[in-house]
Amino acid sequence: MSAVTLEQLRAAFPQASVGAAGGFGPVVTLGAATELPAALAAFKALKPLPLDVCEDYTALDAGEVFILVLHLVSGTDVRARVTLKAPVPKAAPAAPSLVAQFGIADWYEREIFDMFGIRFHGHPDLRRILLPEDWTGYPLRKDYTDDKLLKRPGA
Amino acid sequence: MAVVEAMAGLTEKFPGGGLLLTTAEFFLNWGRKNSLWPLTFGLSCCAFEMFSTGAPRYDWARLGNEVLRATPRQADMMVVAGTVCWKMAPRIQRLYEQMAEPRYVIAMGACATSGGPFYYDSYGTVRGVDQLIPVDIYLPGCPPKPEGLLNAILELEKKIAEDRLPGRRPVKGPAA
Ligand code: SF4
Repeated sequence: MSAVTLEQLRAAFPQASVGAAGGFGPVVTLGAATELPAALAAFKALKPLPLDVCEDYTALDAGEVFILVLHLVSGTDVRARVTLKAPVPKAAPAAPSLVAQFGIADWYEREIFDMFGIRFHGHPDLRRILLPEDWTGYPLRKDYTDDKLLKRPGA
Repeated sequence: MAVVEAMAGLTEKFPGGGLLLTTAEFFLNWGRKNSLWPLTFGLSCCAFEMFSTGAPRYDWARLGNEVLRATPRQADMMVVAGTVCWKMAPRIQRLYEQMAEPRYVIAMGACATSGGPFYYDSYGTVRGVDQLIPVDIYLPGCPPKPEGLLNAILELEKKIAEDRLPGRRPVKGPAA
């Protein structure tokens, strides 16, 4: 078997709830974003296929909360993959930075900060990456609006 | 001789050759429209149609668009091919201002003419490059085919042929 089994995931990080395969492998949902570093450490040490490549890292606005979404794959066999989700409260949008574990998380976290305003504690250089430096607001939040944006009529 | 034939009716030949008479305005316009040097300005998907227009199958060098310049100081025509975003806006104005006069702009594609597919619900798109700089030719399409761009260049050539001396045009200020 080249895919990761749900049992392996449950054994590696019992605090998380593990759901059946979605679009990108099994979906592992954490209780809070603060568990992310511990969960990543556990999945990186998974045997026989360690989930040691961070393929994507983004966020979405789920109304009540923001949800951080990570795609992990194994560098040994790319068929072993997992989607990791962790909620971030809207009142205090912050999460621990994953740069120490995945160097590639650096720019992903800057993009998430740019678009959603989620702060990453421990990030070496948390600045806007895509929008102009003097931009105000976080455009991928559902409640974002500015004076240039035109709403589609009737939508 | 090709020059004289191309300008039939506007030139006079002296018996025995050696001299050519025409108006300065016509002569300058004729030179300008047949040697437009474009500034590379591919911004997104439309840029690929522009590259294709420059490549051998369509070959816009036939129209005198011989060399794509990477610096505005050596260019007099800008094909804005793609989506202009607000972060790009000050750069596009700066580059336009650095181009040699007289300078011409073709807005290629729905995005550059109006914002196109990103007209509504987009925080980053400028709704048409004409909010930033004057545009001479609007070319609709998403993306326009290379034939469309060739036609836009021919239309621009017609427009240049009617230019008056000295042909200066003002730079529009940034959109509020
Ligand atoms: S007009 Fe269409 S093809 Fe051209 S840049 Fe815009 S989206 Fe892309």
